[in-house]
Amino acid sequence: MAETYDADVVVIGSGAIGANAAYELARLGKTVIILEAGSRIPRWKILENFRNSPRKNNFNDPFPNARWAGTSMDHSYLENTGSFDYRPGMVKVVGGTTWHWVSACWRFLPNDMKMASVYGRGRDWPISYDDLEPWYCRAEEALGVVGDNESDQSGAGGDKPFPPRSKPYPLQPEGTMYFTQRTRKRLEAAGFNFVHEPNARVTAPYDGRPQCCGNNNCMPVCPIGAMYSGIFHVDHAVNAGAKLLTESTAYKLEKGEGNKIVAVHYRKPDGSDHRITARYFIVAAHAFETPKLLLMSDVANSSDQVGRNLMDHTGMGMFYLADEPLWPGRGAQQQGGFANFRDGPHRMHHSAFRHQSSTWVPNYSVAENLISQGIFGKELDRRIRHDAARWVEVVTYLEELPNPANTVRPHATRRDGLGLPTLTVNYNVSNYIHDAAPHVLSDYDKMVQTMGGTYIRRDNGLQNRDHVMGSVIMGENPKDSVVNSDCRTFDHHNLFLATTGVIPAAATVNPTLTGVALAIRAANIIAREI
Amino acid sequence: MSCNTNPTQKSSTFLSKTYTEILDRRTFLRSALIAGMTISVIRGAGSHARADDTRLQPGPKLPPVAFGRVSAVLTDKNNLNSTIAQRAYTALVATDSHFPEKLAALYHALESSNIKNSEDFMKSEPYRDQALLDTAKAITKAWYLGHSGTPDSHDIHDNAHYIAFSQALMYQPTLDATIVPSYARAGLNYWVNPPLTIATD
Repeated sequence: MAETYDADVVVIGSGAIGANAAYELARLGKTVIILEAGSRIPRWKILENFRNSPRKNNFNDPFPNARWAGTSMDHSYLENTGSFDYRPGMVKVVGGTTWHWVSACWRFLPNDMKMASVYGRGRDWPISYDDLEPWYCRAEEALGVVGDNESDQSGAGGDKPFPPRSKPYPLQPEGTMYFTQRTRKRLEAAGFNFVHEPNARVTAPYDGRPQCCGNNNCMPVCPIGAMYSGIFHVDHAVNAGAKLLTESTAYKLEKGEGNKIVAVHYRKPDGSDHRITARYFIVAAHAFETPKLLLMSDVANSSDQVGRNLMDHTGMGMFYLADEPLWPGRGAQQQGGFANFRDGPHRMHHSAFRHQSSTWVPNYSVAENLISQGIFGKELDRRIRHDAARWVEVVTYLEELPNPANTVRPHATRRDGLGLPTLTVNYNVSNYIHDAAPHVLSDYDKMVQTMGGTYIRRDNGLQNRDHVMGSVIMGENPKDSVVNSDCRTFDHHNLFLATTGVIPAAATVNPTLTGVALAIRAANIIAREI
Repeated sequence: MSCNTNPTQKSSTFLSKTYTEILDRRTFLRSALIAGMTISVIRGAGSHARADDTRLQPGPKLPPVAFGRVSAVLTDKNNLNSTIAQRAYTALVATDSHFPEKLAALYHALESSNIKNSEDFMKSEPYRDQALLDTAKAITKAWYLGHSGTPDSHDIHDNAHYIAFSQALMYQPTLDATIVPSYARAGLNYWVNPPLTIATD
């Protein structure tokens, strides 16, 4: 009897990574259903919510936190039991969490993917940079990435472009901010190597999006859609024939004959349960909800690594006043930073790290700092102008190693508004990161000294950097990995995972572009098999 | 001093031809800064409002006269927006139910010591009283930061209440150089140039 299916492929999750997989499959002529737990919220409404929020430094605030679609800043939804409160931004809406990123689109370096072989720490990826390179090109075209084709992005200050590229960036970089011109000139003279951050804020009309005009609001929402968000590929996928089901929370992957996945069950806010069938399944539900779904379903876990090896680019940061007016806030929220320690032999001993300047309009931080010090009136206004012009914020990204004891799991007892388990994380920061901290602080001291600066705050402590990796780890060996180098689960031939949760070695760069590259590649593998 | 209403004239005086910046005439304060005069706050929610202001509701509680007087002393501004004053007072009470008593104590202290402006305040006895100083900071933060309480970047539950955004006083001193976030007023790459005032900033 011929099998009938509701679709060729079901994609669970409509964020940037799932939406790109769905679009690629639809474009290749496959029938696709996308399940999304959250609702659709239009850009103008997110923007209005932001403008009317009293907590503008909380990037989740403009987005719904529905009882059936819990998000990460709700402590009753995401519990932490370890010594570090691991709490990335995570929202459940059509288009996913890239509504509120800054769109940093770095490639991993070749050595980033060979940490064990080259540095004797952590894991190797089961694929190389060269394997992934053509898919990086596809991902950059999809997102509309702007970048400098000439720069040595390793931070070593070389005069050749690195890592190697088979195609130039789709778009030219944005103009160099005055802030960047000045800080770069002075800090490069002191030995810091500046690298422009490739990003997805288009510098010319692209794929129906306008070019950036400096709203300085990338996080939490680009008012005009110059910046990429997953919503664009949700719309592309639907226009190419994919079907989107919103308010539809997947809660069980059903196993069948031959240990294939035969169906996914999902629940609606009214409590009704539904079952749909497909030939292939892609779970793209974020690096938290993907392992949670697998664990709830008891699938793909013969390795016992599902929900383990959770990683972030645990961060450090500082603020200082420079000795000259620089005027951060003219342009986007980030442009580049100093990356000397992005790669190198130090990785044998301690974490790599990479500095970025945050070029937000600084008035909130400036005014809050001055008023807290007891400054009022005309003096306050004078100082706001003086300090805002000179305010420099540096954020640093460090590299965690995979540790099976760092976990994300369904909560044993707590339930959400659908009666499904909430999330519990257990996370502790390793010595690999702690041992890098003195080197980070030494860089900070040198920066401040070079810029004739005065610290406002030298050490903000360890911070979340919102880059969730490792929780469904990729590897060569089914005994210690959840997916193979295709992002196919070892246990189920027709189950793929499209999430930064597959990343086995974190590096120091934002992982979404890598996740999209892997997802487009996986979609092509699936398309050949259907 | 009122806001300049003829943008073309100001543009030719202050902008080089390479600039593509389109100055929002309702917030152009360059002349006010040079003259060193009190910066005029946009009056009323209806007339020159931006998107976040168009639906500002004053709130149920009429603030006591003390609130306006104390706010004027702490900010050195005698033309504070009355709608925002009402919103600020409402928000401060929502965050802290004891705020009315704390306001009264601060008002009384300022009156008894004849403190008329912020400079006097920062040299005074009440300034050295922690409780009075905390109240002064809370009021000033309400006007400058546009919310009461303490917002939490990683928790959806906190005690902050929204007051204003584009009319929050923290942006006024720098509006010629930088924008209120999400309200762009120029085009791609305007940012390669510094603000016009760079030589004297």
